[in-house]
Amino acid sequence: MIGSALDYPHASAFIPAVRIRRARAIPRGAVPAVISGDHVTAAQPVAEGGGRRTLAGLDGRIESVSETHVVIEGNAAMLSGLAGLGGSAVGPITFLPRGESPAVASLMPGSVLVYPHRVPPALLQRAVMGNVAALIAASAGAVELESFARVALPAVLAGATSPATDLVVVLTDGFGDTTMNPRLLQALTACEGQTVLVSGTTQLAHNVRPEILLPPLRHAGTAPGGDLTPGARVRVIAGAQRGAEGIVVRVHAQPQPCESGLTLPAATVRLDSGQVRTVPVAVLQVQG
Amino acid sequence: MGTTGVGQSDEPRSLLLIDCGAINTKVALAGLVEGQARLLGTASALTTVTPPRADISAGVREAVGTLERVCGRRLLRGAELISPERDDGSGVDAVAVAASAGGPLRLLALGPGRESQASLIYRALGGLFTSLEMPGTGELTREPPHAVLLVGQAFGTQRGDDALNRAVAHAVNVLEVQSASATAPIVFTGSPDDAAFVATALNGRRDALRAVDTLSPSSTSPLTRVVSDMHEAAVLEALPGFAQLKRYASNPAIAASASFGGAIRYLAHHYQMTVVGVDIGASSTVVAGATARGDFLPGSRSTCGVASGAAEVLNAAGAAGVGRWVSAPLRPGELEDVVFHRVIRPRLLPASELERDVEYALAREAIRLALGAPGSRANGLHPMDVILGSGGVLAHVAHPADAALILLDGLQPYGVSSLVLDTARIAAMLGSAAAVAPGMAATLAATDAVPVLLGSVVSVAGEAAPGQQVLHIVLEYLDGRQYAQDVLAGTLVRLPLAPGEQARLSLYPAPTIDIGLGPGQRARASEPVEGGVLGLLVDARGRPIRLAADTSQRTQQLLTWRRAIMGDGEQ
Repeated sequence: MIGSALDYPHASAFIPAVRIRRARAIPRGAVPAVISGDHVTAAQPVAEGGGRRTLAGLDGRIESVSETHVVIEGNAAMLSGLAGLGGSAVGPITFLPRGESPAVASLMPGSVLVYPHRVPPALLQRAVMGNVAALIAASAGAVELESFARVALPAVLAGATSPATDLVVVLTDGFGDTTMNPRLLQALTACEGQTVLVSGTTQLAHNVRPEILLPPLRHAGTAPGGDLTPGARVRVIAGAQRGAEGIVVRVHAQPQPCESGLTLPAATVRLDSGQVRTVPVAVLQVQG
Repeated sequence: MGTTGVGQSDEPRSLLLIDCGAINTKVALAGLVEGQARLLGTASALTTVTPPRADISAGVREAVGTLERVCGRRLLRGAELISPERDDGSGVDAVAVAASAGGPLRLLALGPGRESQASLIYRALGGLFTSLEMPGTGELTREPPHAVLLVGQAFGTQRGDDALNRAVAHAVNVLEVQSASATAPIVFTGSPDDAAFVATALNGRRDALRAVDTLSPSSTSPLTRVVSDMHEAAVLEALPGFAQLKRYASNPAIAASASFGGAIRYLAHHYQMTVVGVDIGASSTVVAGATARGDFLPGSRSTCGVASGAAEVLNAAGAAGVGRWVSAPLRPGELEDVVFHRVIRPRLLPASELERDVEYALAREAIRLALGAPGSRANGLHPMDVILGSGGVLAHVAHPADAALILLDGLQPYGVSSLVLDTARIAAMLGSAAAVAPGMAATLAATDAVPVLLGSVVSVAGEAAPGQQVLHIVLEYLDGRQYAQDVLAGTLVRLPLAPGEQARLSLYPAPTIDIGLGPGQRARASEPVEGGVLGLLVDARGRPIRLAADTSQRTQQLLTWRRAIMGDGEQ
């Protein structure tokens, strides 16, 4: 297992199918709409009242009901993000129409919008104005996200404070300029239109990371994770080659000089562009 | 392990040192080689305190497993350490544990005396691995406190003053609502009458009270001791798997910063010099000074580091403060992106020149912040005879010149200093080792903890125009050769003095320039200085170092200084 894999609470950015239990909070003024033992679908309300409906978010069985929470257990595909804002949200997955600018494309209220690139500040604002439930983006600018959240980013990432917005934001690939991990994008694309549960909650000290729960995927391709060995497909997660993918040619027994000038445990990777690079093991994510 | 296994003397024959850092767990094995304690090998693994591997002892065993392969010596039997050392050479006699995993002890200061006695509080806590939150100082609340520090008025509560009563109620409320532990302690410092009042007012939480005398300039140590003793119970005991790690240890685990401070004190005593140690970690930074007379001058920023602590450096120093040390071109917001990407993925290592530059910039500012932290006593320390650099960022620099620049830019010493690197990364373990095996720890501190001498450096302070001659320096090598050079203001110069080679220095500063003896005072060293991997350095950039305001000029400055001390032909 390579070190970077441990950044995820479940050791992988993507688990195609897992038995999982999640508590859905009942808002003030609402009452449970289910009882223990009920089977629910993701789009089904589990609490209603006070002008609000709380959707289940995942298919499963009601495990318990209290005045404050409904606990659901079911099978789901789990995607882990690296950082996020806000609590949880439920909605159908949507994408911007192909070729349309994020500045003008119409947004579906209540949806979970996927934007597989660095999210522009204007799209964050438009998502709020358009009552989008959650935004899943590859990355964001740290300054821009802090400005959007209107609270100090370190405090948000520590889970010590909440942003001044109801929009749930999940960054799958972190800060800076990068596109979404193709494996994650493939899984999200396969679920377009389906209702999913998204959590933006982040507490770095406890490795609580954002998550996206999708219906279990039968044809999910290969999930990220696995051993770093020759022949493994990898994605570079930092540095000048960030976002590039390739095949491991050799895992060096001794530390090697890398592009940064540092001599580090490294692997030689043949990138899809044809370039052969010596890349620190710490910035390689095995794609399976 | 329970008891310490020993050989025929009181000292153990072998010692396993464990340092559980925020990101990496380092282990080192020391044993007797021809009767002398030496470092036999080191290894590391990821620290495992969060899901999916929430067991700190798992990372320790993984590192020890690697150490077994490095040393060819069996140390583990299943999940247990073999102890004492066996006749076949397997096992170890003693185990010392230091840790910064779990972060600092978070203290919330409340009470009517907290503002008037702030300087004494900071002084008492200056050398400890604590994070003190003073409400109203603008510090951000990130995590709930482990304990409350309740500060009474220095001369006791006046009749009719309800402030202490309200503070007690506030403290109880904070601990009940926020605290990391249901039995979180309240430390009270104040008059005996007020202490009795607090004990009564706490009622059901009375057992949680630790009372110490009113702080005064001559009596801060009782508070230091009480808070120091709380680290293991409040922070380390809460780490998953710590019970197993505790079974391995021969003595109670101590904070890595305290352990590092112990090593620096020993070195100062051993060399009869002023020693400054800098330990830059992923989440915290320590600057510890010690003098030959036994003075200990600690300073630390327990939340400032180059990975998970990078956001705090950025917050405290500002983007401009960090960015000024980056020679690579930066787009608006790019620095913040690199820093926060490292914060959310603290196990990353620099994969580009920009990421490396940013890490080194963070390291410089982390040192400056630790020096200037409230309660720091290392600030302004002069002379700095020996500067010891420790921590992953310094141990794995791209070039030794980078380590020298980080230390010089961060500390900005003046006078003559020796720059030493702890490339084996054992300095932070030696204080904890001293409690278990003092003789062995002392030998290691004087040998294997200081394996790389970067070089001696002559740093000058004083006003001079750029390009003006500030120093004429003459080296008299022991074989009779001489080398002389004029040094200009604003430059950094590397002079020829090979590792192990010695030369006597004669220094002739300009009238306004101070080489540590006062403006214009000349010096001829009675003892020769020794060369290092960077030769002999002369830092004539002035104090404080002035960086050009113009970005391209500043970039040129940084690159010129780096090239100047890298040596011919190196980039």
